[in-house]
Amino acid sequence: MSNMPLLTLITFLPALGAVIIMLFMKKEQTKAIKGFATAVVVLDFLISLPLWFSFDQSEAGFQFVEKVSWIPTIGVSYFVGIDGISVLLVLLTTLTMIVGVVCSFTAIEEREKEYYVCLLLLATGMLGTFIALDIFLFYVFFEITLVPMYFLIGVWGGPRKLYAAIKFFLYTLFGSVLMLLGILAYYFANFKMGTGTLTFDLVELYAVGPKIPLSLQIWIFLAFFIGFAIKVPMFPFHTWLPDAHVEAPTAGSVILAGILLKMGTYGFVRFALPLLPQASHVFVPFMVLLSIIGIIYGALVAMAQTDIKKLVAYSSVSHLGFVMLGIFALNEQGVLGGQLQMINHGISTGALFLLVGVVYERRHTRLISDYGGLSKVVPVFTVIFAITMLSSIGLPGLNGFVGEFLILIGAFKKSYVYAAFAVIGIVLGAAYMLWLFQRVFFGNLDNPENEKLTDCNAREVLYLLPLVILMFWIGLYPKPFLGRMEASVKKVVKMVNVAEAPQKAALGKMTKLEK
Amino acid sequence: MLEVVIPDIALSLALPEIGLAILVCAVLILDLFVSIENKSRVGVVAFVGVVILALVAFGQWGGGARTTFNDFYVVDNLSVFVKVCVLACTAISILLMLQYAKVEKINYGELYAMLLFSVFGMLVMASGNDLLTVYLGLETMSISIYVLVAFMRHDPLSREAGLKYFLMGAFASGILLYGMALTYGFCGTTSIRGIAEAFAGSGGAAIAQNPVMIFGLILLVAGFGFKLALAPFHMWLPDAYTGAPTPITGFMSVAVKFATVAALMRIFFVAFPAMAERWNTLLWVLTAFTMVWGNVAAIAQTSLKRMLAYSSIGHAGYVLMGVVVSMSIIDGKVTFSDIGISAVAFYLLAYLFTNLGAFGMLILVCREGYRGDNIEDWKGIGQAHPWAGMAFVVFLLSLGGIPPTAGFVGKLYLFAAAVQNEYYWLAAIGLVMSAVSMYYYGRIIMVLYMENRGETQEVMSLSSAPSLFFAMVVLVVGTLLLGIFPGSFLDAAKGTVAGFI
Repeated sequence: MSNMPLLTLITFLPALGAVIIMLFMKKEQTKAIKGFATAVVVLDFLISLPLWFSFDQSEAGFQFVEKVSWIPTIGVSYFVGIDGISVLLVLLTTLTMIVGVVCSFTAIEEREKEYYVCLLLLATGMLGTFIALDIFLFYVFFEITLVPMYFLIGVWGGPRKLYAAIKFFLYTLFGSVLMLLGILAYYFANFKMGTGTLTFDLVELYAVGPKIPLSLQIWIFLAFFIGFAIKVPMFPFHTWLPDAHVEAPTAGSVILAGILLKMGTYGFVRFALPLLPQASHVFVPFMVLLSIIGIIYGALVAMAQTDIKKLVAYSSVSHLGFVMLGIFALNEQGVLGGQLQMINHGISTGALFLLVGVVYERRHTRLISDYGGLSKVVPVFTVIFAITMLSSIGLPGLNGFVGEFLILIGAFKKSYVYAAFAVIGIVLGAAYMLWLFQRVFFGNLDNPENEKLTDCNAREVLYLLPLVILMFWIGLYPKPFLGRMEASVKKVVKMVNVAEAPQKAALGKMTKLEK
Repeated sequence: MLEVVIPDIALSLALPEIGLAILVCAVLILDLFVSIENKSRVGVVAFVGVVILALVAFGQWGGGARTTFNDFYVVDNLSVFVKVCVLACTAISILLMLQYAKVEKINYGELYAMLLFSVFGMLVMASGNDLLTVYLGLETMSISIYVLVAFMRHDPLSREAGLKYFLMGAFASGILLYGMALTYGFCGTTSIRGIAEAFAGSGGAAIAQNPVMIFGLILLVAGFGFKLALAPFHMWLPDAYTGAPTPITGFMSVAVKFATVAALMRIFFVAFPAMAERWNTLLWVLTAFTMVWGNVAAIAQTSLKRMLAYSSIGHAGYVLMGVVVSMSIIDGKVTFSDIGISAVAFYLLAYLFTNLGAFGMLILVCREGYRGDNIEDWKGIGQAHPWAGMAFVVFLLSLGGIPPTAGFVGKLYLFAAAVQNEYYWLAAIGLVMSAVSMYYYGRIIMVLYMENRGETQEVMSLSSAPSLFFAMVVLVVGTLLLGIFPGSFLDAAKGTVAGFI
């Protein structure tokens, strides 16, 4: 690769854009600000494309690595890079940012300057989270994302925005401070039992994982668990999510569902599993239990919702339960499926929030009972919604199916009981989505206000289109996606199973003897 | 025949203090010749003098521990660090003061003189190598600050605050002195190293077990607890901080902590390692209690200044946590870790920029008859004054410990020290409380940006004084710099350990 610091460029370009808007643009020039913000995110997406094309699929380790010493006193470096686990998330982020910016043109009508500044800063925070290979750096980015999101919900949110904003902020902060405790414990455990140096360097710490005694691993795992599980959010830490989603502006919801939640699941794959292999095995039943409760509970609660956005929010709880189930199957198929499902969820739930935003902008209501028979007035909207809904359900041929299928294989390999419960979730998922679709789009056009509804305009179709294309692409030909992730996923699975390997070998011998 | 021995006194070691004494006299004399409208000039002279002295003090960095005045006085990296920071804090406080003093009609030369007197006390405390030196410094500092707190004579709140602080402070000094007296009774010396030797010598173990000595130690802890406003000795603080002129509040909250913590570390780490387990347990409880109390009580406040006062109680708890977690017992031997001491130093430095900045925001909006003290007054300021709003957000995030600010690195370093020496519970309490603290800091951000201004609300305008503007820029830059590139500052903080333990 050339020496260009590509990842740094991708990460900090939005922040640079934010600074330029802040310094050089007047708040009255809303058109210029929108145009400039769009240009920044589009450019950011374009320069992130080499990550897709130049990515070496056979390489399990980190690519596009950059490393500069940052705070040598405590062993912190600016160390970034991507592997199969993060490459698609980075690309998803840059893509989602375009969607997020473009979908806000008409939805946000006040304080545009600050709004786009917040969006761009948020982009930097999220990208940084996915590329950081130094735990300190990761934590810094992880925390930084809270601030712009807090503003997005709190300033441009719905009626209960203040409550939702502070709840989101405090809930996730509470989790991440405890995670910090875990990070520090690991940092010193490495100092005492591992390499003997004070370092936050992830690659060095990876080697230490199995050497740390199980009792300490369990404590650290709990700390990581609280931090990431709140972010995901796993049952029972999910209560902030519906509030945040419902009150956030459309772009905020899209980014929250599409990217921010993935920071939690990504955290498990990147940190919890490889750094704490033995503890991860210990926690499998517990994690699976919570995931399955999340899947079923999220689906049941979603079914009972009267607000479309809230329904989608609860469906996220259910979908992320699937992701977590896949990850904690701790085998290749499961983790791979979980990884793919993260991307799928980002695409389909993001699209669902966008669609909800589209009708909300026109009708200013999200109550299911206010709609009905929409398919007669807004055909294009209906078609896109139908595809998205089916992708979310997991219809074969669309993206959701591939991810869920892999997760189920992974879960089945672990225990057929896990898989059996997860399947209930899929059925329920189909139920609430189809029921929603039926109530909103079919039936009679009872409400006269809906008759005047206009269909999606060109801009809306334009930003939904890439998502729809991706749904088909991943659904019909997932190989480029799975191929990019496979090597790294295998590596993670190998790392997490390193502790079990001797046991399995011993078991194998025994069975041979019996024969 | 009586032999007179003239001790060899290295006066150069006390250069900052001597210079400061001269500066105070110069300020007092200058005050006589400056007309009442131009008293700010006195402040400017004080500012320039303090900056020069800070450079002088900085020149003493490195070179290990050097004692003078017959071992009453020590210059090491810790004392130099504290002195430079205290002087920097003073310089910024003077900048914050210049405009404020005019607005509040307290622009007298004594204001600056008293400020410098208190700084003199702090420098002596930082270098005190004897219980008596520390005590003298402490009293010089305290008495000057009692006066400063009550400086707004026309304001009953300020008078009440001064009186309250004076009564509680005098009481605390008494307790502290009693503790010192008991120590002297057992050890036969007031020298800090001498006390350590007495404990280490034959019979030292018996002294350490003596209930009266333990009582003396408790008195010392309580005395310092009062001065640092650790819960439950914090009752004076909210009133004193609220009533005092705002720049003085900011100055107190930072500089007093610096000096007191330096003296506390020197006394407990150097003189009392033999009783470390006892004072450590006491301080552990005080720290936990302080972090919880300060942060929880701050939530209920409606006055911004009072909220910041409670938050500074919480921060005193964090600083003290660094002191507590410095101690660890390795193979039955008490040791003090570098990382704990340097974490305290760095945290205080971060706190200097952050907290002065937060109080600076209050000064920025202060005008005649309007203090903008009610949190509700700040509604919509983020839109009306975007830069000021952003500066405030930076300070609040730093106080709450959110990256990329000084407060984050400071807290991280503190908690790292706690985890290293396995004070997991204390670290957990501290971390949870720092999440709690974001509730009330976040509420201010909410008021600034997310709530709309009422129709009838008085318009808030910002002072345009260049001195104030300059000070605020320095504080914002400092807060961000320490958060993004803390490297060299961390090294400096680490350097404080050299020659100390």
